[in-house]
Parts: sequence; structure tokens; C-alpha cells
Amino acid sequence: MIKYVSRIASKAHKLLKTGPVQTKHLFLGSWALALNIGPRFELWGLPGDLRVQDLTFIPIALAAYFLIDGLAVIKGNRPSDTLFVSLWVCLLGLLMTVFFAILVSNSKWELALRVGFSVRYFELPLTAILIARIASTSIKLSVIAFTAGVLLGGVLNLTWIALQLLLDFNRPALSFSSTVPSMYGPGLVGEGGVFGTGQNLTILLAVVIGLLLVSNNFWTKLLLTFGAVAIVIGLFEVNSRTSIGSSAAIATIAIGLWIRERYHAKGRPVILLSFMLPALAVFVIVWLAVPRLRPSPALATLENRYWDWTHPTLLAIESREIFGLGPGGTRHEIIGETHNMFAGVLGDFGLVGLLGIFFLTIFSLFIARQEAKGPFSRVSRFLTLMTVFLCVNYLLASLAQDALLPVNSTQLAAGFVGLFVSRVRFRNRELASKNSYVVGRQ
Amino acid sequence: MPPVFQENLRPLGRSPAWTAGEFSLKTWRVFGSATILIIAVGVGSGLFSYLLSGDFSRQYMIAELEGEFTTSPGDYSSGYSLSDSLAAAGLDPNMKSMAEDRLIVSLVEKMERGGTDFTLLDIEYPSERKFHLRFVFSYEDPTEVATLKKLQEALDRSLKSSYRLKTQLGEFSLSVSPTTVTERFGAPITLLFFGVLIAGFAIVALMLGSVLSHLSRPRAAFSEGFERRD
Repeated sequence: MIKYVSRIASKAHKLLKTGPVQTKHLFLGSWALALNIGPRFELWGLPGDLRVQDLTFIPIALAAYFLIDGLAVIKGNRPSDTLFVSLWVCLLGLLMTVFFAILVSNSKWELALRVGFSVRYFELPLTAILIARIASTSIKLSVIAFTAGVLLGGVLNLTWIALQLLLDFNRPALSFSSTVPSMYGPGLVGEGGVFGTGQNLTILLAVVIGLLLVSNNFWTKLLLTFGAVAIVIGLFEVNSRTSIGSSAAIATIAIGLWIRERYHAKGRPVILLSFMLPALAVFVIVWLAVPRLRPSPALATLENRYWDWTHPTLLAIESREIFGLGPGGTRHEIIGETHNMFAGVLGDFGLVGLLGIFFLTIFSLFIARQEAKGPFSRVSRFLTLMTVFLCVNYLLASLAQDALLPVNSTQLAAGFVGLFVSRVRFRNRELASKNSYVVGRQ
Repeated sequence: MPPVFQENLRPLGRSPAWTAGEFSLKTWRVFGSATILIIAVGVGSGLFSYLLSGDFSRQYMIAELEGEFTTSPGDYSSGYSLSDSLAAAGLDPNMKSMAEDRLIVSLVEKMERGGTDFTLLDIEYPSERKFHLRFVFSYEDPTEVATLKKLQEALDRSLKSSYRLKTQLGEFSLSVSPTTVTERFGAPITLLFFGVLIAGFAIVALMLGSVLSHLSRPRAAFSEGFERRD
């Protein structure tokens, strides 16, 4: 039996890791494409919040890992690779939260909520780890494949949005999604909803801007500029205020970086000005285009959302501030979304979770800083830019929405994080082999 | 052992990613500083805000929706009474209310899916066929007219989307009335939440500035280095 499993594992491993480059990259590209256009069906209704979207990709990740790495444990070897250990930590965490959900749930709806949220929280690191692992032997081609998948999915989504606008339709039967009511604007191929669509377009805009900043070819730049314009039009049509806000911040950073490089700006006042001027320009454009994003209505909305969702969350966890109510507990307690990811994480994981979110962000930016300090290639620069853009997006979007809610978009972001991790590991391996510096030998 | 698993056999703690000397030391320094700073600023601003805390009044819109079931309780298209069949099966006939509840929950779910931001306060059944729902609306609905319009739209949309709801629920009457609620801002957890949020954002902003200053530099530097091999 073990021999048989071993043979399958070796073949799967060969296919995905050491086999022909095309197969592995086809897998990555298809995954990115599927995440972009994958359909969304709610198995247990909206309150359950565990969707086929979530379920489709996790088994792939788990199966691949079990086939590739699980045998090492069956054979009694010590698991030692960092990513391998991370995988088992994640799986253990997921099992523990599901076990916790079974213990504390009083109804099937609460159980569905808690299990759904547990899967949602743990699938992100699992996705990142799987992609980091797959990309570890050929980062450049993996980045190209994954980015191509994202771009192709983006083109399909934008075409779908354009069709909806041109033909003036957006009916549930035609939108491949069970949650697109007729009142919404245009939606994605696979997922409707204003915020979900907005977040997908924001990530697509970050990719296009990142490529623009690292590209040298004129025609590529021209094509990417057209793409960026199409995405911005799509964003305004979808009218997701949160996503427009975070896209504006990403655009500002990109314009500031471009000005600094183009004109070799030096000195703090000049650097500040190169970011402040684009910020002012973007602010004015948004002011004119989206009345609801003007400070007064935006702040009023935030205030209302605080009283409607954040405040009840804070009341709900009043005697469990440190560790919170457990995954899905907040949604169950306040019977609805928190409309603020920080409040949601605080409710589900307490202050420990809130600090964890900031740790992860600070840690990611710290690694990005380390990466940016050294000499780096275009692929590396693109991944660093993506890390910065995604951090900015999630920090801003999380203030007004539960930014982890659009599952497919979040998994796309996790994919880029995985590629960045892979890239950093590669760099450190190079550094270690260059300096022959291993702590264990000291 | 197949060569496939060899890369997994590096001993723990030797992975270069986490043992590249200076990198590791700096990581922990940043981690430690960030932890202390977030907690210190969080607790500090929390205590400071506590001094400013107090009661805040806020206006909500309470919307009421009354209607009735077109079928008798528990009697659906199958033509027989659910309560009778429950009793025949030796079950509690009062369970029939579950059927009505399911219908109402389905209606509310559909209204929520329409993107209307309200919360269901309570459900009452004043008589055998009637039901009475109370919702609370708050944000982006400054007037009674706007709230009423939103409720009417959500209701129409829900009824349109479900044949069962359309046929089993009859006429509705809607009403909206404003109500003022006093809330207290200043519980320790509220202040700690905002404190940690402010401190976290401040540190992230500093870190972001630092990354951006390293990211923007002459293009010539990009193609240098060992990355060519990746």
C-alpha cells in the first residue's frame, strides 16, 4: 500500500515540482484564472458562509501536499523544511478550530458559520504556502504564469462587465452567481456583489501598475496603460467606495515612485512633494467622480458602520477580550457582518488576533524593505511592489469592510504573498551559500 | 528513500531563510519593538480616550412590516394541513410555527441579500394568519421617506425572486418611525481597540515610508546581482 502511495506521490511531485516546467506553470496559471472566474455557490445558504469557492481549492492544496510531503511523515522522517512545518501548523490550527466549533456550537447554523470561517481563515496561509512551495525551483516562470492567469482572468471579467453595461443586463441567471441581486451594478464572471467585484479589480489594478513600474518595453507599457484605464472605469462603474479608495492610494504610491525615479528626486521635501502632489490630484479626481467618497459622507458612513457593527462586536466580546469568540463567533453573535476586518478579527481572535494582523503586515513590509535594500531583479521588484500594494489595500479596505470576505480575491493576494515568500527564501539561500554562513556551525 | 523527499530532511533550525545571521536578529528586533510599541501606544491612547468618553445620542429608523399568510398556518400547496399531519405522526402540533418561521426567515434573508442594511429586531404573530416584523435601519437612511422607499424596494425584489414567497404571503403594510437611542462610547475594550488600531497604523505607515524610500531608485540597479539566476 505504502509502495503504491509512494509511487503516486513521486509522480505527482515530479509533475508539479521537478517535472516539465510547463506542467507546473500551467497549474499555477490555471489556478489564478480559476480564482478569478470560479463560480460561487452557497452550500448552506448565506448565513453558513461556506462556499464552493472555498471548498474547490482547499482539497487541491491539501491533496497535493499530502501526495508530495505526507509520505515523509508516514515513513517516519523528520519534517524539517520551513514551509512543510508551516503547512502542518496550519492544518493543525484548522483541525483545532473545527474541533472547537463542534464543541461550542449550539445549532447547525452556528456550526456552519464557525466551520466556514475556520476554513476561510486557514485557507489563505495554505494557499500561500502551496504556491510558495510550487514556485520554489523556478520563481521567475512561476510569477509569469501566475500573473498571466490573473491578467487573463481580469480580461475576462472586464469583458463581462463591459457586456453587462453595453447590453444593460445583470440578472442572476446570467451572472453565474447566486448572490447578484438586480439592484447591483456589474459583477464579476464568478462572483457578484459590489465589494467582491471592487476588490478583484483593485488587485488587478495593483498587478497592472506593478508591471507598468517594472516594464521597459514601450508597447507593453502602452497596453498596460490601456488596461489600467479600463480597470479604473470598471471600478467607477462598480462603485465600490472602499475599493476605489484603496485603488486611489495604490495609484498615488505608484505615481510618486514613478516621479521619483523619472526625475531622480532627492531630499526629503522633494520626495514628500512627489507623493503629495499625486495624492492631491487623485483626491480631487475622486472628489469629483464619487460624491459618496467625499470626507463628510465617507466619515458619516464609517461612523454609522461603527455603531451598527463594530460597537455590537465590542460589546459581544466584553468578557473575552484576549482570545475572542473563535472563528465565526462574531458573525453569529451580532447576526451579520462586522463591516470592519479589524473588528471582525478582534471579535473572532481577540486582542491576540488584532496584534497578529499588525505583526503580519509589519513583518511583510520589513521583508519587503530588506528585499528593496539589496540589488534586485525586475521579478523581485514586481513582487515587492505587489506586497506593498496589497498591504495598503488590505489596511484601507479593512476599515470599511470585512476585507477577507471576497474569498477568491483574497486567495489571489495570498498567491502573490506565496510567490514573494518563495523569492525571499531563494535570496536567503543565495546569501547563505555566498557567505557559507549557517548558525548551526557557529 | 526516494530522492523526492531529500529536501525535507534538512534539520530544523538550519533553513537558511531563517538563519541568515543579521536578517534573523533584525527580524526579532523589529518584532519586539513593534509589540512593545503597539501595546504601549494602545494602552496609553486607550487610557487617554477613557478620559474623553461619554454618552452619545444616535437616531435610528424603526421600520415595521405587517402582512399575512395567504394559506392557513401549516397548510401548503400539498393540500393538507401540516399541523394535522404532525398530530397524526404523534408530534407536537405547535411545531407548525416552524413552517411560518421558515417562510419569514426566507423573506428576511432575501431582503438582506438585496444589500439593504437593516437588522431584524423581532417577529410577532398577532393572530393565526398575521405576522409583524420590526427592522432597525440606520446608516445612509437619513429620512423616513428614504427608509420607507428602501424597505419597499427590498420587499418587492424579494417577492419577485421567489414564487413561494409571492404565492404564500399576501398584502403588506409598511411604516417607519425615527427613534433616538443613547449609546455609551468608552468601554475599556472600545478604547483599547482604537488604541491598538492607531498604534498599528502609525507603525505600518513608518515602515511603508521606509520601504518606499528604498523602492524608488535608479533603474540601473535592478538588473544587478544574483537574481539573474532565478
